[in-house]
Amino acid sequence: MRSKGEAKSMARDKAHSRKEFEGLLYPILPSLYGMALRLTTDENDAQDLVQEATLRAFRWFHTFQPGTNFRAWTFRILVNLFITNYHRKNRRIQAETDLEAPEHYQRIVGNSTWRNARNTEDDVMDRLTDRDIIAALDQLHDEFRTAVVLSDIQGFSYREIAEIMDCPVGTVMSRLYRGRRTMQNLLYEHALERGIIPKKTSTLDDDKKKVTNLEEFRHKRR
Amino acid sequence: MNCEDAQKFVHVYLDGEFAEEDRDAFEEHLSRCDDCQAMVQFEKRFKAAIKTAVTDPPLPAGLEERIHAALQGESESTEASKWWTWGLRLAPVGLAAGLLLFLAWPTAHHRVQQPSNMPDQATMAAGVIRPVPDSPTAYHPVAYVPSRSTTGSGYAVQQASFDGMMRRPSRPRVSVRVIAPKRVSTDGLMSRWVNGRKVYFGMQGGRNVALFEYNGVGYAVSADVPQEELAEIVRSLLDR
Repeated sequence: MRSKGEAKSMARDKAHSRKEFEGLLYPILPSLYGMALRLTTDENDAQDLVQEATLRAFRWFHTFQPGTNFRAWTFRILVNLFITNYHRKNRRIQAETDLEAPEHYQRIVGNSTWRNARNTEDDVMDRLTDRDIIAALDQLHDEFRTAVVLSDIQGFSYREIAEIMDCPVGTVMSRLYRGRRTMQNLLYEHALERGIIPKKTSTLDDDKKKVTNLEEFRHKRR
Repeated sequence: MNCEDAQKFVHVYLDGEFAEEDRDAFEEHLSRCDDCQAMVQFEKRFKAAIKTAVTDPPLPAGLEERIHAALQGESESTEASKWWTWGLRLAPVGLAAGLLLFLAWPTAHHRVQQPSNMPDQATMAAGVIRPVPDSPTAYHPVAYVPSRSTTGSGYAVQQASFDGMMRRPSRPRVSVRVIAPKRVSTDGLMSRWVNGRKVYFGMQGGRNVALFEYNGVGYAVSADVPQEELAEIVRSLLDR
């Protein structure tokens, strides 16, 4: 049995660690909520996720090493919780599996409409709204979306993302690559549909030539 | 470095993740390849566009307060749980076991029968009633309570968990758990008086759960039976 004095001092420690925890938590709460919102794409789910993650982080606060990255540590808990509780695989489309397929890349950033004339490129980028970009992001498969958000929006390094997502750095790189490419493809399709990019242009023919040339080039290299 | 490599590694370059020598090789290639330079510009713009499009939204009103309240409840109840662990780890054994035996008693109304593999009381005291280790995996919600409720964590962590399982082929499982009453938020749960005692009804994993306090000990009785029938089970428990 513990003595009364011991119990009191433990209570004090607990209150102290809660204050310390809250001191670290509140400055990062907006970005934690922003992350949760992009993961769940629903405000209520995001609030639940943040609340559960912070409680869990508090329960495990004794395992946190002071001086290390609290933000990454909390994000890791949030992402894990999301994967176990909120993961809805089927709602997302898979990122392109064929990383090497040159046609998508060529179509968007190769010698194509988007890039051929600098003016056109600027134009298309300018005419894509934030909502278009968010919609493309939200359509990504969870793993890719998580990686893109952690990198492009939350500004974590590859190493930190690897820790948060519990995977090797190489996997982070490939998830980012595929996630961003898929977004570009989705936006390109969207731009075509909305007529932001004309459907038939002479540059598309150049495009095909380019792809063929690339294939020939690869063939020669073998 | 060639154009193919440049396309592959353009993100690594823009994310600032290249080692110095790789970055130099990349930039050296850029300096003599207009196509790749344009590609880098495009990717740079694209990356910036994502960042601009998705800014952190404003915090929903009250979220911080709710988290603060939940953390406060958590740290207080963790304190409370210490005396639960020490003082009450064994105290509910008799009671819960008594309840179990009672539940196992065949009654005309519930027809709950004692299964052949029913552990004896000694075994239960030794093994069935066990503290749940303090880890996220052993974090069992006892009652479904919306986690955005204003008080407490919204979940109860069982300090002593106790499943009295009575199985019959056509009979649903009835389980009795000992819980720390302070850890259960009853906000938003329907309550009704059963034998002069307030009993809260909620759902957990698709099963109806009844929560009540008896001699300072919290109990959660759950079964996949309609709420009315569960109330009857609770009533007969409290009758004893």
